[in-house]
Amino acid sequence: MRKTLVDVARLTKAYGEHRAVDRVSFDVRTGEVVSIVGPSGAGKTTVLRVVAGLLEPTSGSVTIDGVPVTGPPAGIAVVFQDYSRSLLPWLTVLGNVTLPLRAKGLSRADARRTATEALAAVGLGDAARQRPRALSGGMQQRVAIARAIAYRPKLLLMDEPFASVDAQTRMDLEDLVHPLRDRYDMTVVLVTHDIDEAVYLSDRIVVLSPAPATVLRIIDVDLPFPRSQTATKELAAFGGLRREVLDLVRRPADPA
Amino acid sequence: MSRAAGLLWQAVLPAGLIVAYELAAGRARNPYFPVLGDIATAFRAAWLGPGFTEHVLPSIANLTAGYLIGVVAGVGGGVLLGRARVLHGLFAPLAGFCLTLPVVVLLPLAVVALGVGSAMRIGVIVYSVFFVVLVNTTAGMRAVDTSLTDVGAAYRIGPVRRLFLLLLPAAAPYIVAAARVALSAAVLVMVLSEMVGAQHGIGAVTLLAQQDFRYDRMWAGMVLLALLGYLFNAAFAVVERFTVVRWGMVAGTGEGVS
Amino acid sequence: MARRTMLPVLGVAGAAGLWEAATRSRLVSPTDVPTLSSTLAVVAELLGSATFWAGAGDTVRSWALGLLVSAAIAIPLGYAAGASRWVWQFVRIPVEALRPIPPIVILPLALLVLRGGSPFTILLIMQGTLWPLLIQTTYGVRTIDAVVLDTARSYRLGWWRRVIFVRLPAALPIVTNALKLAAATAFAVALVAELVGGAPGLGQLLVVAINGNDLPRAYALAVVAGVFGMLLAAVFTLLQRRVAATR
Repeated sequence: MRKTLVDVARLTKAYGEHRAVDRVSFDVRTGEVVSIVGPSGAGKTTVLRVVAGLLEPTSGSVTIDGVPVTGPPAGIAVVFQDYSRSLLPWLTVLGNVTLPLRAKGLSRADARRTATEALAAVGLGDAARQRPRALSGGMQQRVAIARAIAYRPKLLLMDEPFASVDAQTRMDLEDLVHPLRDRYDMTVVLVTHDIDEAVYLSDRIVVLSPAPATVLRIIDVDLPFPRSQTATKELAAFGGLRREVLDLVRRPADPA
Repeated sequence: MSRAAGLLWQAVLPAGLIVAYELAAGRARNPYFPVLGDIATAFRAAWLGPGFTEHVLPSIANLTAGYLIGVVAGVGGGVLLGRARVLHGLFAPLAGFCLTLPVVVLLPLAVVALGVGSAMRIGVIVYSVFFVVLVNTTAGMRAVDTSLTDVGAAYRIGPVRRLFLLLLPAAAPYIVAAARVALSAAVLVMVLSEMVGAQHGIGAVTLLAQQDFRYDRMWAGMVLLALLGYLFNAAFAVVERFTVVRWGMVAGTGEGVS
Repeated sequence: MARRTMLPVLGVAGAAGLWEAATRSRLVSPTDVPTLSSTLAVVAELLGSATFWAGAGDTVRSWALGLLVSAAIAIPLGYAAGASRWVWQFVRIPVEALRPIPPIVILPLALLVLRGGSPFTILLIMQGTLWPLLIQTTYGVRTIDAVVLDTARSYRLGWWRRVIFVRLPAALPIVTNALKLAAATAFAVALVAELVGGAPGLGQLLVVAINGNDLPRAYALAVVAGVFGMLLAAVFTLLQRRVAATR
């Protein structure tokens, strides 16, 4: 068994009286893709933000490599849902990708080389000089992904990364995840409300209940690799997992 | 409509106004309204000869100094007020009061305290610029999208880069708009400051010309000030085009509609 | 909660204390700046004086008239320019050329022709407020969501219904905001006209106080003018909120 990278233990987050997350525990092992799914408003993003060190938990803890998270830790990168607001419109595509690298202390030349390579890896080799607003939504999200992988994180956190692009683009972007994970040796935690996406991409799925979020079940996804949008989704096992997650997500709100 | 017809159509009213003025002025022979030729002659005499160094340059120098000091201090203060809650709580209401207090009522008070020299003139220009920029920069900093501050935090971007590459550009639409408003205010205050007890400067010459019944010279002053106002405004449109408009943060001013 | 009210009070108290301390200790000469306490004493005195209220009335009247005349011209014209490209193109060059001219520029001429007084103040206020109001209204009417207009057209609403129920309300927030800015400008310009042009009002009272070397009175008038400015701003902010609440 692979070693544990992220350990979330009895994580609770309350905003005043309102409890968004209630004693959530799960772990993520090195090299895994783990999805967090749940009905909308269930506090998925809250969990991710605590893992990213952007939000302080009310109680409970998150450790990465055994080190408790108190602020944004080194070695993690985040892809935010809203690419149009998380890219800096006043910098070029290349500038957006190099900014965190320069902040990390890379020389101008190294930052540029790393960024160019990352852009090529997401299929944006030609767009380096453009400004984000000149690109389509899907391409902008590729820039955000390039910014994350250029950072060389051991842990990549993605918050609804493909929620604001069209269905076709979404499949293309989903199919970037596994190759990039293999190439850059990353562990991936993905928040999504799309159950197909969770089943398709994950090694394991953490299913959360409606707020206050608790862990309903952690499901192992033992679908074969490499996965494919057509073949994998036709497998009977895919359908079974999909149904299992769907039943869990819909049951509390809709007792049919 | 075709491009040529459109241009022609746009030229009708301005050309008509100018011709109408010239005809009316020529016929009426009212000393208050000299013909265009006389205004042009007075313009050359007043501003393009020694008058340039004696009156135009000092005005522009005061304006530039006061404006720059006001903008830099205003942005600096706005960053502090926008990012530090305690400072905001302490000073925001005071700043709001100073913003609504028209500079013109401070002018006589400034004359008493500082005299009529450059110090007073630059001082009142700084005041007129500072609070506009301060209040708007504060608002801009407080309105920075949390997605951007998240990016800064998640990628552990240091304070200097965070300020200059993240926060200030994000607040740029507010800052640029304020700087533009402040420039018109600064021109107004510059002229005003020269209308109290001064002998030099564009405003002084223009008002003195009126008091000396030299109306062509007064018109020359008005034309110069109008030109300056127009040029500064146009310069700002260029600044906007290459910053916030290019970044897609605000709509282009299009046909000058702002 | 307590902090939210405490801090502004502390800030104002600190600034007031600084003023009083600097003038009391003669760090700043009392012939340059009066003490805060003497200024406030005069403020209290002003509030009970008929001359002051007459002056304030004059200023507010000029302010209101100037703003009203500007709005009465600028809003319908801006509306026409926003709804029709032809109208906009026709007035574009003069509007764009006249807009950036500070109102102070026409002061000498206006002084000459109108000899101070109320029409003079109103003319200056118009130069300061008419053009921005016109341009903002044009912009507000022009940027109405095309979908809204298409909807109106597809339901075959007639021209005047489109104006009353669609275009005007849709442009309202931008127009209100422009009015708020114009109100502040108009107040400042009214004071300019009174100070430099000698029109009756608060500005003229200030000139009299300065000429009579009555510094505390001059400072008191400045403070009161600032409070007036704040009140005007508050009224228009309220108006803006009301408009915003309807959508």
